[in-house]
Amino acid sequence: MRFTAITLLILTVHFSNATSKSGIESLHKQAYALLDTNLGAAMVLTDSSLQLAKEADLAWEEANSYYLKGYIYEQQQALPKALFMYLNATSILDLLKEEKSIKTHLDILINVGIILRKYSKYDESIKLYDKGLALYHFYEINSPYKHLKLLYNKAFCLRRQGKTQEALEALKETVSLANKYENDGMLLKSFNLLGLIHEDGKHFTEAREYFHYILDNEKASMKDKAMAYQNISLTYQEEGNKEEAKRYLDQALIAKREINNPSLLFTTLSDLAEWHLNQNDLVSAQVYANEAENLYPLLFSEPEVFDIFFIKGNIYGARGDFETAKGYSDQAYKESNLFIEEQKEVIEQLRQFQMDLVLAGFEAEQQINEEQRKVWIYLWLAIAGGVLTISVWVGWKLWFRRWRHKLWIKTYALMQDMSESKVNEKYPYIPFGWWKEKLS
Amino acid sequence: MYQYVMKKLLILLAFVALGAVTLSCEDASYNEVEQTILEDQTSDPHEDDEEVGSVPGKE
Repeated sequence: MRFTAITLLILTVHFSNATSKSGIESLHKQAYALLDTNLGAAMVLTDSSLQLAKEADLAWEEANSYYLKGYIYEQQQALPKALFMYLNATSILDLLKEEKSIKTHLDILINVGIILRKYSKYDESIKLYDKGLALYHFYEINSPYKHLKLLYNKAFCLRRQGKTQEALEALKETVSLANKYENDGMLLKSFNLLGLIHEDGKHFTEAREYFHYILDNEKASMKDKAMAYQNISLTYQEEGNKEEAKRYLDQALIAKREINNPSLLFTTLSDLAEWHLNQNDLVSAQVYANEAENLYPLLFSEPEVFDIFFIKGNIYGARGDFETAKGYSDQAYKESNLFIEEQKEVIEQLRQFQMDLVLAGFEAEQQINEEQRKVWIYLWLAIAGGVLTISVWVGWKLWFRRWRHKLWIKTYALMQDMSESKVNEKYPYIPFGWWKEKLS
Repeated sequence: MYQYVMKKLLILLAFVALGAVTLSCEDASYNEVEQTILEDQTSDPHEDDEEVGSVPGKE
């Protein structure tokens, strides 16, 4: 009776778990499908999946729900909230070791790295990518794209930090892997970054070679080309060649209007506004600046983006409308304070989740494995050493006793006036005799 | 004896001087790099580059 009850209970738990699992899986799939079109609806589905996963105590499902929520917040530019969700997911995934969990873990580490970089937390970001790379190699994950993303993003951060040599090394590996796995998208992105590194070093001709390689590549997307035009313009701006800079900005604008990417369009529009402002063409500057300003609510508010308020302030200042100019200046100040507040929030979250421990988690695990390996090595070395010592000791005993026996026979033969062979026959050498003597 | 000690001291001094020159050169080049980084950060704010993120449900 008891056995039947237990069996029934196990079957019920198993069945309900399976039902929850498939239900959560279905909710996740529906949410994935809505990520491009309806983030609000995707969030409602994800909330349900998270609740179900928590109730059924399904770890990966719970972590994946947090991942989805984090992604949705990220798309809504609510980065501190996104980070909070991602960190919740990583704290669960840190304990899971199967391939599916490691892959989700890598995806989240990549996104957390990007958020931290946006708040200028470069060291933490690089450590996360390193942790991702260590997990990737340790668990022998087969996902070249994730590997490429980790390496490329690391190179991206290193370049922003000014660690050019390390960035170049990471990019060298990225290019080689992108070629090996025939990933043209990542190859072209790497060339773009290589061009920017050369631009950093004021090697404008070499930088342009990389960007033109992208433009001439038939596999380059319109987005890749738009970015290359923008960056070629940047090299000419740096060289002081205003005409060429403007020509490539116009090309970038045409390409960016074809793709739906507010962030990229914003960059070119604000550059064009500034270019016209420098030429004292205030009407054109105002047109481009207005269009860029309209895109502002869709973007992540970071210092590079605040520039538009200074540009607009300068345009109004040049027109003599100092009151409006001051209004834009105040707005830039307000946005800047908001960014600092968000940065503080992010730092607080990192502290709450004990980011150092999160980062150290896998390293500590690896350290324990390494220590265990060392213990085994020492143990085997001790055993081998012991065996060697005993062998030498036994060998020495054998040789010494045989030598002593020979000497004794010689002496005895001389004393008794007998031949050595006769003495040897009478008292033969017995190997291990000393041991037998001890035993007897 | 005195000459011998002086000779050794001179050799030691030459090594110390060489080390100091090497270190100061390294320092100078480091400062140069730092300066370049600072200049770059302030002069090219409108470049196009972006990281590659992950999307749930996709590779």
